[in-house]
Amino acid sequence: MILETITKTETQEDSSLDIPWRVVVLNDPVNLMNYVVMVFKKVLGFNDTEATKHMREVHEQGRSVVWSGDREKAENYAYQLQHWHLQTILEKDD
Amino acid sequence: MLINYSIGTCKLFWKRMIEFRLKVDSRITRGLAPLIVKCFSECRNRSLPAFPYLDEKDGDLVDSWESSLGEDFAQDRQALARLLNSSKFAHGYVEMEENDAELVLRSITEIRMHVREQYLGALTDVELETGDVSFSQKSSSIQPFYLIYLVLAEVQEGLIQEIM
Repeated sequence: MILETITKTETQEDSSLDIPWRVVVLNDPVNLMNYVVMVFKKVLGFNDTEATKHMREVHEQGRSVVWSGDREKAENYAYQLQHWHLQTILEKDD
Repeated sequence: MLINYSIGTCKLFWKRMIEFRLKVDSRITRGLAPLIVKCFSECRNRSLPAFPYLDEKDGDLVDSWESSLGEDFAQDRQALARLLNSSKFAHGYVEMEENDAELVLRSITEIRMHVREQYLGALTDVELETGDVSFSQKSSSIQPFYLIYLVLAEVQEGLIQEIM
């Protein structure tokens, strides 16, 4: 019974790891536009056009999904973006 | 150029320096320097960014995330401290090793956020973004902080140009 419970919990945790996660950057009034573009290029490997498109999305719509995929990588990106002081959250990509 | 005499070998390597002069009058930077240092010191007490999982209940994960970010921010501040301690900065010159540039960029962002939160509450986001601020209608006490906000943005602009 205990084993069954543990297995069940592990399965639930594993499935939560399988769900894609979205890395979302939120707008803030402080960061310079070219700073945000630079961070997107450095952290996410965007080219100029992609980085500028996401920066504009953040600026005009208040948020931009900058990456989507497995949880571990999403966490890694979120950590780096927070290190650069960009307001970042992780959402389940339902 | 530094010469590094490591075990049995002599390696020569260049440490590229970044140097530029701010456009702002050096009398202004001299006047602002002590206040920038004050704001810099206050940043140590600034709260960390919110954990990115909005519904995370795992306290250990949150603690480890925050402690790691806290250490990284402290390392960034050390690089900025090197810039602020240089006598050239007060005279409007920015000079640092290229390796410090990213750390300084991040740490300046932290100060600008702190200044915005603590001292520029009377200004709207639009005023800050457009730079269209009328000081005659604002308290004179916010003027030096607004100048700090602008001067630090200029340092960031210069650094971004240098490293990109």
